[in-house]
Amino acid sequence: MLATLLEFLREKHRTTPMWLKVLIPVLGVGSLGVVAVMGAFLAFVVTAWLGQPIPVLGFDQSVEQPIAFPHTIHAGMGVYTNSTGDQIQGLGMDCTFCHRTVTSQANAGVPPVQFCAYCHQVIGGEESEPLTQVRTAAGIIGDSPHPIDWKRVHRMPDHVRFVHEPHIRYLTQNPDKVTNSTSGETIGAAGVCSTCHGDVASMEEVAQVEPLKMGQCVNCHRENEAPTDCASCHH
Amino acid sequence: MKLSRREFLALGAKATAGTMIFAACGLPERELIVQSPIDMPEDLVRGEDAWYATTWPDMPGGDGLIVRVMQGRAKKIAGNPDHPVNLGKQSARHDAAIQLTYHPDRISEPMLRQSKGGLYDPISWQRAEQLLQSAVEAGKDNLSVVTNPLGGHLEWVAINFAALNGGRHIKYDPTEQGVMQDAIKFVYDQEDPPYYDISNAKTILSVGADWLSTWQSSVGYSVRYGDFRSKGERGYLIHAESRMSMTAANADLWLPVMPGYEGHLAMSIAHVIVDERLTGSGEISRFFNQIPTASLVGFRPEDVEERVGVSAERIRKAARHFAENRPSLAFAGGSAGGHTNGQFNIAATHALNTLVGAVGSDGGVKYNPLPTLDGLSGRCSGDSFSDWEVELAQWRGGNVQTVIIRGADIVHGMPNSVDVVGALVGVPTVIGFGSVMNDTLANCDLILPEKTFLETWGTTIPDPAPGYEVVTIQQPVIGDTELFGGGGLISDARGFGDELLRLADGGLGADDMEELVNISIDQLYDLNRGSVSAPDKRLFKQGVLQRGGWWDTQATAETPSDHAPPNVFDLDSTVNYSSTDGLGAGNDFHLVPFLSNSLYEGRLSATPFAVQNPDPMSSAAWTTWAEINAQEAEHLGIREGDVLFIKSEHGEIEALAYPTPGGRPGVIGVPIGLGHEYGGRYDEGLGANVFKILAPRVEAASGSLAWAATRVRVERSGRKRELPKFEGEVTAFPVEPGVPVLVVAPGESAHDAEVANHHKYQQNFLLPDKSEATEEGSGGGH
Amino acid sequence: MTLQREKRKYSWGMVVDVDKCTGCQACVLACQAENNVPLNLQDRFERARVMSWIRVERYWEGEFPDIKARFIPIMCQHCENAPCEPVCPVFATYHNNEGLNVQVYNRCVGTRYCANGCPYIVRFFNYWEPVWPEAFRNHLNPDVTVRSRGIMEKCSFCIQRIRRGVRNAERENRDVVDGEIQTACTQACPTDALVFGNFMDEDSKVSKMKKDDRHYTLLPHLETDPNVVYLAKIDTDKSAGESHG
Repeated sequence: MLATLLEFLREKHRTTPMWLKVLIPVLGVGSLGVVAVMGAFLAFVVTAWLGQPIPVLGFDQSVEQPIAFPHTIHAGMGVYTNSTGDQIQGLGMDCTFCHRTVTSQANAGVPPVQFCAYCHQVIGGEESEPLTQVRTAAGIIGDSPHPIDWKRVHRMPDHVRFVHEPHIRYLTQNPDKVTNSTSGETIGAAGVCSTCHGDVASMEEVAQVEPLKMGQCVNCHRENEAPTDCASCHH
Repeated sequence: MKLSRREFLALGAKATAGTMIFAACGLPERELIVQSPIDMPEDLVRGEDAWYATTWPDMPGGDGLIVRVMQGRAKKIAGNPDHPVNLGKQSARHDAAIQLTYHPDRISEPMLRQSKGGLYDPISWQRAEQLLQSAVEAGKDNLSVVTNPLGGHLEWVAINFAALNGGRHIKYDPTEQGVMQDAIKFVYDQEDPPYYDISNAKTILSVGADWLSTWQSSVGYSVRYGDFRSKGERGYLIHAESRMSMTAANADLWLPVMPGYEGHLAMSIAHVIVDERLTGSGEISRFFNQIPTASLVGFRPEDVEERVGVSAERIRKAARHFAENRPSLAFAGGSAGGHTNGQFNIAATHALNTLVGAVGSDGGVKYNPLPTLDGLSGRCSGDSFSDWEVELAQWRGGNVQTVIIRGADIVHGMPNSVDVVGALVGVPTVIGFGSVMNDTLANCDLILPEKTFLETWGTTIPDPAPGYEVVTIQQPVIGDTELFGGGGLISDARGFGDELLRLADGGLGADDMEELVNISIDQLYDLNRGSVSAPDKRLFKQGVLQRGGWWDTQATAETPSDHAPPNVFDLDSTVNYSSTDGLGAGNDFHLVPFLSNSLYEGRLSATPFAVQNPDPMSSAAWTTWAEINAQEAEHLGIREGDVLFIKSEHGEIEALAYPTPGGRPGVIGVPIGLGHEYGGRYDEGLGANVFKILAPRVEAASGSLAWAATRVRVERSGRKRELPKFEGEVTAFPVEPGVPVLVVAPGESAHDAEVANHHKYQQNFLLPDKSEATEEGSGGGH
Repeated sequence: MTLQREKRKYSWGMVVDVDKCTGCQACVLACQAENNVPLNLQDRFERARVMSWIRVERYWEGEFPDIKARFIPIMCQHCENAPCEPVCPVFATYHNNEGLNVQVYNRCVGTRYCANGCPYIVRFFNYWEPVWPEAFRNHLNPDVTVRSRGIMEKCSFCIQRIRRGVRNAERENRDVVDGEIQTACTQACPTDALVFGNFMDEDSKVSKMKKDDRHYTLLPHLETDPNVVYLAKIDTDKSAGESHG
């Protein structure tokens, strides 16, 4: 069996012209190169796609924040476990309590550290790790107050100028257009937020639940007879 | 395995050969950060981006500004629509100033030099303040505080701090407005410059002053120029200047006067008006009270046209228009004052107002009231060059222990002949405040990072005021800027005024600038008049800060129309022009330096916004160029982009030739502002510094530097570089060939003008006779 | 479909009084600061690739000493019949219902056909990634996209300010008041040579100025029908019916 194979190879070696012997490895390496280039291209396309905030393939969308801020305890109505392991009743705060510019400006805005400190100067135990971080940032502990660099969860590409204000205004005036993508319920007075952000009050760590791609924007704009002029959002 | 999307991306990137591609597609880290500021910015409270009213004391004019602030960051500077000086408008300089605050090379911490000429070490503020304290104590009675002309509270602090420590406050002003103020004093007996009612004038004769671009309150003047051109009958502008400046370019009649003969031109205009009896006898006799009758002899246009460099016909045309189309207004400044006879040039021009009854009338010269607050003036003049020579001699002689410098780049701004660097070496301790490095700071022993105008309290008093009392308030519109990603402060800076007040330790009546400004606001409240009325002091302060200041349109000064001239010209001693000694015949030029439209004298040269903003006349940027008359350049074989050596007796600089059809033959114009050795990444080593080669001649009466009186020789170096300019970037698109900008005669419609041009075009280009067509090319352009 | 002019609510436009333009460049820098136009570094000038959404052109007429300088500010003319629009293969530039010629950055693929089509040469191509040092990013306008390499950009009539103005009016249930919306250049212009407004409003300042005898448009023979109207420069030395050039 082996001898037959060797014989066959010897025969091949004899009959194969020299140019073909040179060409085969060249072609082999060459096609590997083509595959590599195509692979790189494919990887490029795939990563470019994944680079947009969309949950595909089960990859975790949440980002790790510098301070473990629980939206549950602040905005939710249920009973939650806090950072020191105690059971605590949710406060049910309105989203606009902290994200104050949402009703008047493009950005929803994050509150300044000072704002956190208004409450957390008093509220919350001393042993809590995240509260210690907040108090340090606010200068209550130590004397080097510093800003907190939060990680952005809902990021629009730079060529989209999304303005919260008219959306909140419209949805507040037309409550029947408000949808909550996760639980079907609205959350307090600022329930309109859930239309795009989902039930933030039930998320310990906020993650993006809607794709927030242009198709979604345009569909909603069409349904509600909002402008679909490109220049409404792209400028 | 729990794999976050970002980790996956990172893995993917590492695993493939295309790392670079992925890096390019990746999201900038910064975009993924939303920063919680420490303190609550006001725009977050109100839910609107905030526009704060403030001002910039470093720029003459005292324009009111508003700054758009979002989440603690200043975004845009614009004119304050409420402010009486600039009425909501701004210049390119104001927009560029935002980059002084956010400059990537901003001095971030105090720096100490180990030895003279040595390297710098960063030190803490605590140590810096100790050093400052001991330097001031050591310099007791031997202290000099150097600033630019500031006006308002900051200058008050500098003056009084120096006085408190037995020292001197000395101001540095590169283009010596002092000459003008002496002339104003001479003609009108006024301390403060008057208000020129440009809006209501029908004829304006301006001499030397580039008032649409850089002179005094150029934004305010430009606003009024808009009225002058469009309100009622269109105003007529006559401008005399040796260089084709922006104002000359907008004039209906340009008188390209020889440098130094501006006064002769004014006398000649007076001669025509008197000779042809173009004005009333009362005005003529008042004029002769000031200028002796006999002195006009010899100023017949035909007699002076050769030395003045303007044809008699033009002088007569200007004089007739000036006298006949009233209200008329004449004023002078700028390069007219930069001569050894500068005061005569300016005073003689201002005296023409008497001839046409323009003093005190609408559309004429109106006196300004005294400043509202005691001790605060807006005067933008610096100390004279002669005073500076005395001062520098003291430094050089070791008689001054400590020098504190703020905002004045004296190393850059003074001629080679006075050797400022050498003088600074003679001072044991030189302390500099600044936000971005400059040539003077680089010669300091201790460099202290200074807060910019967006971060401090202060005031400015407009100079000149708009005819009534105005106090502009400067407030910090942003706090300290924290860099993203835990990078710390962009600059751990402190205010110059705050530091001096702290050092004075209560000796100046306040602990910081805010307190000082508050005291003044309370004083304004007590006056119980003006633009803000409020039931209590707190609301009054709010109102003043919201409007950007306080003004009282009723608080005007009385201008006597039959004012008795306080002084009589002594023509024999002032009239004669004397340039510096010629360097021989041939390629000799009068050198006329001019303030850059966007850089001013260089205080904005660190900001790329200003450096890249094209000059209005040459459209050049990023370099120092020399404007030469195009025909003269052709005759001398000089082409655009030739590197020229411009030599005076006191040094030489290199500049790129820019032949222009608008240049006056015999005159070479070089912009001021570049040529810094130090100044951040955008400025270092750019262009040349024309100050360096100026001859140390002084104006006879005031001792100011005669900065426009240097003669230079121009030589080609043989090298050539492309002149970075905007002109030629785009091709012209004429209305018809040769007509890039449609021009109409007064009363003619655009349609008629287009038809006329079209007929001419058809004649020249569409009919077979081509010989005429070639003559019709436009004179240069885009 | 783009609405005809008569049917619009807003038709934005500008009137430029050339007689009042002093050439001071305030508009140029105000525009750059407002719209995040990249810094024009020295090599951009040398390679003739300077980006300037609005520019002030300066022409000479005559010879010394009878020389006259003529300044004219040029920005996108927002033509109703724009030559740049039909040539775009990806519809990145189009005319909207408010009379604006819109450039959609994320659609643009950088063919530069529009720049070739534009007779006014007011479209600029990003040949390089814009350079904004980290510190300068603090002053960038958050309402305007920072364009990247490889796309066209041009004057948008400060659409972010128009949007904001219209939004504010909608919130208060009213129409936009004349003068409420100002572009960065008209706001900065010290002599009011540049005026911005709504041509549909008969009482607006632009509508009134447009009726001036001196009004003309650039390159009228191309019939681009621009929304920028110029008022001719007045020269007292010229007599009616005389041609110049």
